[in-house]
Amino acid sequence: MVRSRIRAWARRRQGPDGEQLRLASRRIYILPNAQGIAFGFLVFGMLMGALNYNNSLGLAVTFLMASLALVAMHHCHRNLSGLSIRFAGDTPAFVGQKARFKVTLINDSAAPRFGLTLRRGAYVTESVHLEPGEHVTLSLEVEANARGRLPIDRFGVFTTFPLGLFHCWAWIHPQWQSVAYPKPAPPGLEPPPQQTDTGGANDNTRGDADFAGLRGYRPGDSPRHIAWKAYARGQELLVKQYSGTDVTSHWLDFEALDQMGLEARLSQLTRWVIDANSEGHAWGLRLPGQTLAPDLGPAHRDRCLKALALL
Amino acid sequence: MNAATQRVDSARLGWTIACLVAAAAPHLANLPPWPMALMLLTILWRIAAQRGHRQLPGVVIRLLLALAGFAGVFVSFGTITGLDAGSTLLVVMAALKLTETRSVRDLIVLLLISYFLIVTQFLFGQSILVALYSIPAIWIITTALLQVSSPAVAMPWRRAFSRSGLLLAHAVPLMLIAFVLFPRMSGPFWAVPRSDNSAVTGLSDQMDPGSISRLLESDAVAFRAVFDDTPPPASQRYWRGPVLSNFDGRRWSIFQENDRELLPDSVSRAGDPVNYEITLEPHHRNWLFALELPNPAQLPRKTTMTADRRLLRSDPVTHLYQYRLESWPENIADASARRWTLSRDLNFPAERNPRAQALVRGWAESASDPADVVRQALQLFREQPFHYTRAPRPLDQRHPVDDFLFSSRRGFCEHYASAFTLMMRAAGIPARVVLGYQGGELNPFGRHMTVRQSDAHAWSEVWLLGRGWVRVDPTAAVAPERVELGVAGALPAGEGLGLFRSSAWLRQVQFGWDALNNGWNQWVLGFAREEQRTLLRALGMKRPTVRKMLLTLIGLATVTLSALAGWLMLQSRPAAPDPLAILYRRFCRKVSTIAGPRKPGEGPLDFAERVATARPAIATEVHAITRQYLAARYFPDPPERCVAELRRQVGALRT
Repeated sequence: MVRSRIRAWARRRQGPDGEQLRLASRRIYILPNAQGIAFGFLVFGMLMGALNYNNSLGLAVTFLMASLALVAMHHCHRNLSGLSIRFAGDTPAFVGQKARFKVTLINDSAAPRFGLTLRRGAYVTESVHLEPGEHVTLSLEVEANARGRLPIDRFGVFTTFPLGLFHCWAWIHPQWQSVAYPKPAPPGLEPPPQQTDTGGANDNTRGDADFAGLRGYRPGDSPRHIAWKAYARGQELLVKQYSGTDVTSHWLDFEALDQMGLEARLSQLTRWVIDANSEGHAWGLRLPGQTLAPDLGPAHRDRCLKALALL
Repeated sequence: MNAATQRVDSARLGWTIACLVAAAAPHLANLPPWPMALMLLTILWRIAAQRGHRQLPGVVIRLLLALAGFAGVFVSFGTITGLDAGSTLLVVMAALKLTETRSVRDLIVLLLISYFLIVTQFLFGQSILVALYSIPAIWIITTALLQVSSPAVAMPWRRAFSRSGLLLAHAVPLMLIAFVLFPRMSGPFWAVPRSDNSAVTGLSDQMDPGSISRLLESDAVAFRAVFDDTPPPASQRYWRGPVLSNFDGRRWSIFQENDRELLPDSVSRAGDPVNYEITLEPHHRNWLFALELPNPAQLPRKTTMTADRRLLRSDPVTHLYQYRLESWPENIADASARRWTLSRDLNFPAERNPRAQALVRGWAESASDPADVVRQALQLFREQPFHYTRAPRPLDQRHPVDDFLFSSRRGFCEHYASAFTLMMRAAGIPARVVLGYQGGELNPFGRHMTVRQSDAHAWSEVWLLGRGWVRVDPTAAVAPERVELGVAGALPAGEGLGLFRSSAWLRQVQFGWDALNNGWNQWVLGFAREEQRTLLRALGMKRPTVRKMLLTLIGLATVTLSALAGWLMLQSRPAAPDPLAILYRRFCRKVSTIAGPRKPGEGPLDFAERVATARPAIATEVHAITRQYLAARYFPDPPERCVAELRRQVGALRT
């Protein structure tokens, strides 16, 4: 309750953030954590003892410890102050899975920064050290709960370095978005049969699947097209290409699934897109007001899934 | 990944154990050895558990161990409170805590205990060596805290030490400000228990044969004195302590009624005053030492001057204590006192030491004046074969003075003082024994005088009509060197006081070390309420009050921290780009009209290729600039001509 009010206040105060930002001092917050409070009690106990025994060295060490805590507080604050944060892309996810937002932390100052950690809700990344001029990319997970655009409305960056006595943090309210793809329907329903593009179908000289050469492997290529013999000879992974104007492809049509509801249709289409891609078939997608021409490969898959997500 | 759940890894455990050992080791000198043995045991156990050789003890065994620990402390000390028992308990608890360290948070608790152990160590002693030891110890604990509390992978130890060293270095100015300005209390909040095993060497409030020569063994410092002007000559360096008026035939002791205050009008003034400051080592007694005769109008706080001119403090001296005095070496007290008020200084048991009494009665009958009796007694010591030695044979229990005067004739100052005082009383002259220190070594480095336990001395005072109490040192009659040269010079050959008193250069080392200790005592350990106010006044604070001190402390701390924050802020600014980066950025800006800006993650070569493809006409220039930039980049400090060439090329580029 209190916490959410404070967060709302911080959001109003800071305003939304862009693709890249530099943490200014005024938006960095710092408070002692449990360990820091324990340290405070320790110093207080030392002070009482040293004063009571009128022990000069005891007092000196007590003051040193208290000063150490104050100095550590400033060093802790400096760890975040002036840190640059940049959006470095996202990995969309299907509903029910977790999308990833890549966040690059850049230290362009002349001093190192230590123990930087990103947090969103209960999800905490590893913590990293950044030397002067270094940058590192961490990813944050966001639950994809509903199909469509998936914003990351808030995350925090925090540090407890150097002595773990203070929790120093900043809230980031980015406008970055990823996409939540529809949840794929369970496999079972057969996709519509393949059609052969009539454009070059009469050119029978090369047959249905003529071998037309090799090209380098790209992630997403179907394993059954890999030239395993060439690989066994010690060559790199190559993919056999078949040519011919006889492009066979599935046409996945939104309108054809008219006995289902909207979400069910999208789920089914999603399933078919995934399957077609993993089997190496080409497919085209017809959606209301939008047609994606037949093609294959991961880029095409992502385009189609995004279109399904945003429908 | 939070401290309560993060599991203990070997590196973090190792750091913690090192800290515990560093913090507990000095207590070996103060505490019984078994808690240390227990700690060693739990350390080995914990290491074995970390390696998987052994399980950590279960809750039943831990409970039994804790009970055994408490019982052990109780058996050792008869209590579980107080300094010694409390410190032992702390060590025991730290040792036992080690057996239940499962998460990082447990390790942090141990590190905080380590800090506390360092401070408890100061309650047993605050010497320079102890302080020097605690500096690396605190550094190690701070480094460990940094390592253990860091959620990331631990740093290389060298790096961690330099980070924590930086933090400590930044903390030191603030610490000094607080040390000078934090208001000191005038007294403790609760009664400070005296350390149980502190067998303090020093003068006691009674004297029997052998009680002073025992102190000769101790080179420990009794107090140090700094004089405003020239120190008085050796013959006047009699530092008065307890005055003993009761005699039972063998033992002299304090007459309690003498604690009442001195009447100021019983002091007459003569001669020039001597002003000095004494830093007294804690001796857990109420008396203070002073040269004859302290000005009763300028006594330290909570101190009174008794009728027999002792300085008596209301509390025992349990800490290093500094006080200033003004003494009038030529002053005489009680010159006008009536004989009857001095009757207690005439008492002695008539049935003991009969031969001595008989001898003196003979003198008293023939002598014209009490001073004559004094002279005769001193003459006896001087002319008969009396010897000054630290190792006389034991004397007869019943008639020790007779045995000494007529048979042994070998003795230390207490033998002479005791025999002389008894003789005076037997002759009807009021007399008493005074304990204190005689002499003191002027330190050539520090301008201060060091008085050691081995300077302990006993002498007599006799009351002479018309003159008052007069000091008579019978030892000086036997061994005049005792007063001029100190004990070491007066003792016969072969009874020397050890190495330090002989070798010349070792003496220099000792002088230097003593001067260092004196400065340490005065400026660090003895920095109490009065010293603080004096220093602050000298620094320009008019009438220092607690409020003023606290406000100044807060103000100065704020200024210091702001300076630190400013410095850190400068460090967090973006580093100034080097000239190469500036030139390359200018190039990228120029060609951005052709192929758009360079993408994040796009290397210079890829970017050049993209630009060249988009505008083949300038491909040569673009590639040349990129080559030049990359070549210069690989110099750690690019030569000026490379930069100049790049500047020319970028300038000449026309898109």
